Amino acid sequence: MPVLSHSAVPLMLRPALVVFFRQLLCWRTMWRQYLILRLVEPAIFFYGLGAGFAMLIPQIGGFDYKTFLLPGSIAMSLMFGSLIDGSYGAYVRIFMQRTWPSFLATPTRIAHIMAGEMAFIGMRSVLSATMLLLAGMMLGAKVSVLGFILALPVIVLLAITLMAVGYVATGLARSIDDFDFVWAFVLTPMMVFSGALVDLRVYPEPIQWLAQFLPLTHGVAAIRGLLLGTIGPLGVFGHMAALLAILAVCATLAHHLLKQRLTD
Amino acid sequence: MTTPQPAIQAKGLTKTYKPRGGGPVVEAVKGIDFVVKKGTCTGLLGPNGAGKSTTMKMLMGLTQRSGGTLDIFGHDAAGLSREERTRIALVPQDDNLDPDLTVSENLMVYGMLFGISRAVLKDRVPQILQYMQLTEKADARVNQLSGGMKRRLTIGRALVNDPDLLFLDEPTTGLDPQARVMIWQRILELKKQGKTLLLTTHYMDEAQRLCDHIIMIDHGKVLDEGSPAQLIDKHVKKHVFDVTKPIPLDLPPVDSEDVGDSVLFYVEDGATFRKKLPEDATYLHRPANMEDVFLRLTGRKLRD
Repeated sequence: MPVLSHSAVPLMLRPALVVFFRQLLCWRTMWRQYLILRLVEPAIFFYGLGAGFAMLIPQIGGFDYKTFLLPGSIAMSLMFGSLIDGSYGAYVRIFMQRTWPSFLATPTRIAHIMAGEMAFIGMRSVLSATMLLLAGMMLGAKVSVLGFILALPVIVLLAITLMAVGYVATGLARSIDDFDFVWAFVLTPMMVFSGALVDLRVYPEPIQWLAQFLPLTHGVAAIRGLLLGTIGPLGVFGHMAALLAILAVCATLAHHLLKQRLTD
Repeated sequence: MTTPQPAIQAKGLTKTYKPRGGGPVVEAVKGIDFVVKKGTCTGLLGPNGAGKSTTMKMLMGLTQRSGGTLDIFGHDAAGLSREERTRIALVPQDDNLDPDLTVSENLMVYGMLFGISRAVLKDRVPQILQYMQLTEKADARVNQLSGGMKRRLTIGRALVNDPDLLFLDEPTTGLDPQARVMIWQRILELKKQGKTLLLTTHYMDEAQRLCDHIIMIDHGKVLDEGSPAQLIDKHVKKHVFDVTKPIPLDLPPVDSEDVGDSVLFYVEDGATFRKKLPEDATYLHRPANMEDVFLRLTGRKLRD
């Protein structure tokens, strides 16, 4: 039996690479739609909120509100893209289309599928974040392009971490309606308490403290810091370490839950 | 002399699980022994809930066994190496083709998951499509296919890694006679190529036609096993007379079974028995088949 030609890829990673390739094949027919939606939706949000609140908030931490908001909008758009693919999207692929079970009849294991899908989301989020950055700059946000390039690893890490959070929800969900809990207990709190829209310091201390457990809080802080040039390398690494910790916990838990569901 | 190593060997295989909603522990498989010889087609037959699917899942490593041993190619089925897993393929009961991909992409991605290079697949995928008569549908989406085409693609997908051992879980359920005959031909060809097949089906004519060896299971236990001819001989004799009631009084005392409106008589010598039937009796005379064996062994009561 001939082996895969790209022998440079370690044997363990090859099925994950094929899963990535599969995601790419699916995306081939809908990337335009995806990029347009991922651009238009956050751009409306950014423009509406930015213009609206700019009247009330002339300055926030020394920046105009639009500039303050753009990194938060980028992080929030990643949250919707990744968390929804890890929850609704993965639920459909696992329990409705039964794509994952079909892969498990090959040498592919659950960890390979998770890794391949997460890698794809990481790549996709770089594209959508870049589009939104350009739109935001055209709408008047004054952010650093170099800062954005430096923020790319954070963007990828944030997207993957949020996907892992979505996978945990998928591991727990008994029906697709259960994802209503994700909206109520994950998406909405993150949207409000991550500091994406307003400075986190306006909230009471216990909320600020709890917000540290939300991946989006660290994503917003690092991406905003880099785009506005207000953070040092140590700060960025700190937030990345926090994201890695959340990723490790969620990915391990999700793997455990999904393995139980799929090999029961 | 040692006998050649079987493709599959189960000894005292058990599977128990706790129902998700609570309640007592369910024993799905209660200590079964069986052997699947290399190069044969073996049928695993039984009513719904007999333990067939659970056994298939244990073979595929999709559920852990609770006890006993289960070996594939002489190694524990739960811990097969990557290399060994590439020699096995599954045709699942329900279609789980990838609806986001085209027909040929389905085969391409599946082959790559088995570690086959794209260069090899470029030749192999069209060959399989032709073999399963799907060439014209190569670029169609899965949801544009009919039920029969989906099944053919599912079987073609299981051939993409050129497996030595093939699990077929109800491969022809819900198909029209044309599609069934086509799939039967392919299965017989695979057997000729020396592949080992393990088949589950609810169609007894299918089992009789395709299988060299049949294992009957029910309530998690093996009821009997043997070739179709052996099982028919053993359990129901050669001929069946389905005699409509009222039953003539002076019939010889042979093995019989009351099935409601009529009584089935199982006899070795059909001509002799027919002479014993009165002129005006209404009956149907036919050779005994696996369906008779199945119903005799597992009873006529409906299952859930």
